[in-house]
Amino acid sequence: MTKVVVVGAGPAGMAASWQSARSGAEVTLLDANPRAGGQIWRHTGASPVPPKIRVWLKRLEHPHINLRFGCSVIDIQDPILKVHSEAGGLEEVSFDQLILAPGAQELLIPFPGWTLPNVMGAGGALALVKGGMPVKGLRILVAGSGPLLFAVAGNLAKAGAKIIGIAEQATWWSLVKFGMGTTLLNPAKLWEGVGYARHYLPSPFFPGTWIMEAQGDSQVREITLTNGSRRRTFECDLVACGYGLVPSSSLAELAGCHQENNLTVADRFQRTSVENIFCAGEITGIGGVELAITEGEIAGLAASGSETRAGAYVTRLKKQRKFSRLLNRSFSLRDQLKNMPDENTIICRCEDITYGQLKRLEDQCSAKLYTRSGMGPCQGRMCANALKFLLGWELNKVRPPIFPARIGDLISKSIGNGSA
Amino acid sequence: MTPKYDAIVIGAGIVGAACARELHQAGMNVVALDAFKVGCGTTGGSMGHVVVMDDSDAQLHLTSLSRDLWKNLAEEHAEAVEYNPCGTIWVAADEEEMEAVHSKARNYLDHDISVQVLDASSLYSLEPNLREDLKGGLRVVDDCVIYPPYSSRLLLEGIELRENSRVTRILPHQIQLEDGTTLESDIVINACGAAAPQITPELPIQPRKGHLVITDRYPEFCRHQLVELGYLKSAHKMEKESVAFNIQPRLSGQYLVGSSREFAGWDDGVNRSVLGRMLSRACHYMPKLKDLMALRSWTGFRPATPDKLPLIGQWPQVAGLYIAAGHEGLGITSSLGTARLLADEILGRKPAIDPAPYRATRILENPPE
Ligand SMILES: Cc1cc2nc3c(=O)[nH]c(=O)nc-3n(C[C@H](O)[C@H](O)[C@H](O)COP(=O)(O)OP(=O)(O)OC[C@H]3O[C@@H](n4cnc5c(N)ncnc54)[C@H](O)[C@@H]3O)c2cc1C
Ligand SMILES: Cc1cc2nc3c(=O)[nH]c(=O)nc-3n(C[C@H](O)[C@H](O)[C@H](O)COP(=O)(O)OP(=O)(O)OC[C@H]3O[C@@H](n4cnc5c(N)ncnc54)[C@H](O)[C@@H]3O)c2cc1C
Repeated sequence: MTKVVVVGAGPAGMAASWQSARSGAEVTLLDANPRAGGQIWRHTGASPVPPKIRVWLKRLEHPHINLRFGCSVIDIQDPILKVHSEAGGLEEVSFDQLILAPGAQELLIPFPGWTLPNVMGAGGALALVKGGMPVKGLRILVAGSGPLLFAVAGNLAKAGAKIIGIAEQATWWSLVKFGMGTTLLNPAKLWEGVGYARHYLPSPFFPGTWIMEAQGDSQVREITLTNGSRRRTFECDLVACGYGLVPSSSLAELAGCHQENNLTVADRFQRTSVENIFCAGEITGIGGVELAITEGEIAGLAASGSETRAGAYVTRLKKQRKFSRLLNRSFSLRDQLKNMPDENTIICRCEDITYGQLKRLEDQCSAKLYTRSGMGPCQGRMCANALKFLLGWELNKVRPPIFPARIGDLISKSIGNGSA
Repeated sequence: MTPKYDAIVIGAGIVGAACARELHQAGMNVVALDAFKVGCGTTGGSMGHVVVMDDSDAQLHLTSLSRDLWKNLAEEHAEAVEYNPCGTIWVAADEEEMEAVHSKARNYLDHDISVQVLDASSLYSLEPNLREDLKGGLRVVDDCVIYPPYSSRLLLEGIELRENSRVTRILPHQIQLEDGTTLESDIVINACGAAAPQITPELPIQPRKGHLVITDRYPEFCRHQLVELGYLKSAHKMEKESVAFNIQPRLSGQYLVGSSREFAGWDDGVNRSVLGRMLSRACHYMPKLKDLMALRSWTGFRPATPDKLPLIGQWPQVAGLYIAAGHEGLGITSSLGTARLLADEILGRKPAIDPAPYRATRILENPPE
């Protein structure tokens, strides 16, 4: 039986696992989270989940899918993954075929005051609320770009927060085009955010607006927005911001899969440049949950030797890719956001390096050598993407482990005391 | 008209930076060139241990001269170089190594280098995270740690620097850059580390790959640079692969863990099996290291010569050319001594120490087999 290993139990990885198992492969699905769902279908298991997610959760009960949660993949050397599990330390998992579906991270653009308590990533806020963080009565500003702001605002409102505004950096005009585009391309709601409309609709919406500054003491108290000419200040208790998504490409890069513009390149069967490694979902491009599922299904079929059946998805895929392109065009970030941080804004939070120190340098390598930026505990996982946007700096080469790991876990079991 | 310099230094790693500074301080009009940027080569990926080593007398003379120079510089610019006067402890695991501790101690004392022989219990009280059954160690009091990339920058202060300028050819009193331009100078110094043979092909320098791991912050986990005495064997034997225990405390509370040696060409990928063996060796000496979090690993290329000594001085094959390269695992330390000797030669000064063992021309006399 073909041994297919899938990394990431978001929509893409769930779809891939199911299709592979159905085609007769023995599937292992690994995810760092305690449950399946990824970003958008994150749930606690306590409250009832929406029917659509339930369908997919049910599919994961297939007898040939071995679910492994709390498992982070920290290194890869074809055909072996190094997996750290909360329960059992480090373990090597081998594969015949690998499907990478690690999704994306949020892009946070630093601004004065962004390090204040209660200023957080939109996705992070969403995860916290879903995890039970009380927000009832809190005045929350949601800012950034992309449809995910609505999903976040909707969820927060549903949990009892008062959304004082949604600040979207894209212009009205591109939003209108996007709105028209989405209805033309897919009459069904493409973004689940729409489902939350009744919760966020009463909140003020500020297109063409972004954050200038957050003020506060022990936590954020006020937020100032700008549209490039005018500014407005609001009192608030929490700011949730996210300027789009950046694919989590480290594993694919480490495995040697060809990358273009930080996206993993795949052929029509979702195969990467490495023969037995496939990819699906946000690491191939930001395109929303439906595209992630389609790509996952194709990858799952192809990885288990059922390429012919994958052909059936071509039309659906084409349409969703078109949507993805529209999405990326409509919400492309305006250059003015590059002025969000000022001289004294801290960019690297691990090493306390300011934007003023960094912008005089030439690239990521100089920043590392001369300021230690990106060398702290997060190893640039936070700031490198912001610097790529702000200063156009290419990311550093990925080195194992991709997440911090116990030294003991980096020693394979077969090694004695290391003496030569 | 192409500008005319008194000296051109090719390579702005720690060695080139030190040479540029020494000549600049002697009043010369110097330019330093680098294919990429200051300290981005081997220097940027190294440990920054400034250490006296006594593999051979020649090594001892050069490293102890260099360490004295570093002490002066680092005490004056402590913050800029992240100076950490932590000393070294050579750790002895068995009686044979303890013998080595005693003879090393005698040798160091003969050369006025302060050391302290540690028995098992004093070793353990200085470094309680070491394994308990070690036999003792040798503490070399004045060894220290600096941060190489910052230090390279400091050395180049006030000196004309051209980054992103790759030299493709060295001609008599002239160099050619990748963009086709040429620069002229009476003196040209090849300080390109492991890449030096790319522009002076006769140089017998080979890249010898090493791995390092950096941990998260654990203040006080270890206070000295700790090296197993077996390190000497590892560094000395020219075998294909070897590992040794070597840990360095950083001022940030983080630790660098090494070390490995491997001839693997220019492949800079992390070799998981060597990395695993290296860490296993380290944990063998410091069992609690197992529970520290490793943030990242990387590799670097030591510029290795066949006789383990650097190549310093005139290269008569090309008029005006001097070499300052091939420092293997000691280039951070011996950069300042190298620069002093090179400047002594160029300026006709009385040499600080006998330069004969390091002369680049020795390899023309005794070509490696
Ligand atoms: C806040 C927010 C709101 C959004 N709202 C919408 C919306 O309303 N509608 C919509 O269509 N899309 C929305 N999106 C986008 C949506 O999340 C994605 O389209 C979809 O989740 C992508 O699925 P995926 O499977 O590629 O990745 P993800 O859902 O991100 O899943 C990736 C999974 O991989 C795991 N993983 C990653 N690396 C490793 C590793 N090394 N080891 C182990 N596990 C790993 C992660 O834990 C995660 O569970 C939103 C995104 C965010 C962040
Ligand atoms: C893992 C590791 C740990 C180490 N730890 C220590 C330690 O603790 N203590 C110690 O003393 N030593 C240590 N070393 C050794 C030390 O790092 C080296 O000996 C030293 O950095 C060599 O410096 P360099 O200036 O000769 O070479 P490099 O730093 O490599 O500098 C050479 C420069 O030349 C440039 N260059 C190359 N070709 C050209 C060209 N054609 N044109 C223009 N520029 C060019 C490169 O870009 C580079 O910047 C360590 C080495 C490694 C690998």
